[in-house]
Amino acid sequence: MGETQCYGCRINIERVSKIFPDHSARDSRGLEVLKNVTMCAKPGEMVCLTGPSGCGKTTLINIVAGFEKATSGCILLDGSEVRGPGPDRGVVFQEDALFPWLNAWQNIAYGLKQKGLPQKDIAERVETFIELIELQGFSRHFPDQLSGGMKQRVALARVLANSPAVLLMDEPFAALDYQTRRSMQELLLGLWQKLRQTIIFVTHDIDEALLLAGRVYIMSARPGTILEEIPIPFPWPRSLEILNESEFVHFKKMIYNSTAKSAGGRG
Amino acid sequence: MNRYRLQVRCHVISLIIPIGILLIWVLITAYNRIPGYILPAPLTLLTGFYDFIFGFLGLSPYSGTFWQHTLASSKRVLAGFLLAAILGVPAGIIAGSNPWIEKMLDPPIQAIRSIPGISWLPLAIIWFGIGMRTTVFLIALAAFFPIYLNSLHGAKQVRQIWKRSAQMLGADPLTIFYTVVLPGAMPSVVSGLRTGMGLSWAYVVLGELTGVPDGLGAMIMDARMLGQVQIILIGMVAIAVVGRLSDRLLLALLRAVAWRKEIV
Repeated sequence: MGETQCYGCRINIERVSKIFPDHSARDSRGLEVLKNVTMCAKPGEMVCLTGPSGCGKTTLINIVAGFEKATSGCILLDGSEVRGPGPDRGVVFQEDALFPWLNAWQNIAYGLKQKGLPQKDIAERVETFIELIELQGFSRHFPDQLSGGMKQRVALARVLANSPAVLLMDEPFAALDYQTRRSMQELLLGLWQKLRQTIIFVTHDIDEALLLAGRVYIMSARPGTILEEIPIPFPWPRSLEILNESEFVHFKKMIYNSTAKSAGGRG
Repeated sequence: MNRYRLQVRCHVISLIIPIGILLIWVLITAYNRIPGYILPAPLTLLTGFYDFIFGFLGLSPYSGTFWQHTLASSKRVLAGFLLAAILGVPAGIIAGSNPWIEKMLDPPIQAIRSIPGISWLPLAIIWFGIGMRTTVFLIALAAFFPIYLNSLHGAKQVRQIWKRSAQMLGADPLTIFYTVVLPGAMPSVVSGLRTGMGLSWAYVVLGELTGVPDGLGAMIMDARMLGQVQIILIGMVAIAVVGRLSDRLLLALLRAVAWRKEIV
C-alpha cells in the first residue's frame, strides 16, 4: 500500500471499496456501496463529488473522516494512511450536528479547547470566525435559537477554526431553502477564496458543484465508482452571477449527460 | 383580549371542583353528618396545622413537632435518595453508552425491578431492624429504578452525530464522555432524579410506618392509635407539601450545576 497516485496531493482516496454485510440476503456477498473509488485533492483546492442519491457519497465521506472503515483501499493524508477520526479532517454534516447544550461561541470553541490552546487564543480565534461567518451578535445564542442557515454557519466555523488539513462537507446546504442555500454558497466561496482551505464538497446539486469546485468528480449509481473527472475552467474569483453565463450552462448540460448515462445504465 | 378572558374563565373552571368539595366538607361537618373523629372540620384542621407547626396553641401532643418530624423524614429521604442517585446515574449512563455492559447489567436489574418495592419490607426489617437503615434501604431501592432507567434512556438518546462531531474536533473518548454523553443524557437524567425523589417520599412513609419514634410517617401511624384523625390528615398534607418543596429544591440545585439552564 501507500503508493500514491499523484504527488503533492493533500488527500488521496486510493481504490476504496466498501461492502456492507447484508444479513438478509441469501448470498453472503453483502451490499456493495463503493467500488474502487480513487480521487484526490491538492492543497488549497476545492473539489466536488456529485452523483445520484444513494450512490455512496456519504459512505465515502464517512470513510475519509475515519468514522467507517473501507473494505479495501486506503485514505492517504499528506502521504500517510489515516486510521480513525481526527481533527486533521473536519466534517460539516448535512444534518444539524451542533451540540445543543452549548451556545454558538462554545460550539466553535469546542475543537480549540481539545487542542489545549490558552483561553485568550481561543477567545480571539472564536471571535475571528464569528466575524467570518457574519454571525456577530449571535454568539450567545443556542442552536435551537438559530435558523437552519445560521446553524450551518456555526458548524462551518467550528471546523474551520480548528484549521483541518482537509474539510469534508457532506451536502451541507441540502436541507436549506433556496435563498439560504445561495447565500451559504456565496459565503463559502468568499471564505474559500480568503482561506484557501482544502475541501471535498459532496453535493447532488450540479449548479452547486460547478459554482464551487475547481474539479468535479462524477460518481455512478450504486456501487459508486468515479465515472468522470471534470476540471471546471471558470476563473476566480467567482460569484453567483456565473450561474447565468452560457459557458456555465454548457458545462451543466455535459454533466447532466454523464449522470443520465450512469443512471440509465443501471436502470 | 379574548385570550385573556378565556384564561380567566379557565381559572374559574378549575376552582369549581375544589370549592365545591370544600363547601360539602364544611356543610357535612357543621351539621354533624360525619363525627369529628372520622372527619374533622376544615377550620379545625387549619388551626391544627398552625399548632402543629408553631405549637402556640398546645392543642395536641403533636404541637410544634412539625420541624422535628420533617427533619427526621428529610434525613432519611436524603440518605436513600443520594444512595439511589450515586448508584443509578452512573450505572444507567454506562449501560446506556455501552451495549455490552447493558446486556450484562440490565437483565438482573429488570428482574429485581419486577418485585414490588413494598414487598421488600419484611426482608428489610430482618436484615436491618426497625428504623433508619430499613427506611433508607427501601427508599434507595425504590428510587434507584427510575433513576437508572431514565439515565440509561438518556445515554441512548445521545446522537451518534454528536459523538462523531466531537471525534472529528479532536476529543478523546474520556472527553467525549464528559462533554457529550453526560450533557446529552442530562435532560433524561433530571427527569429520572425527580421521579426518584417523589418515590423517596412515598417510601419514607412506608419505612416509618413500621414503628420508628419520629418522622412524618411514624407520626401519622402514631396518631391513628391515639385516634387523632386531624393529625393524620395534617401529616398527609405536610408530606405532600414537603415532597413538593424538595422537588423544587432538587430542580433549583440541578439548574445551578447544569451545563445549560434550558436543558433542565
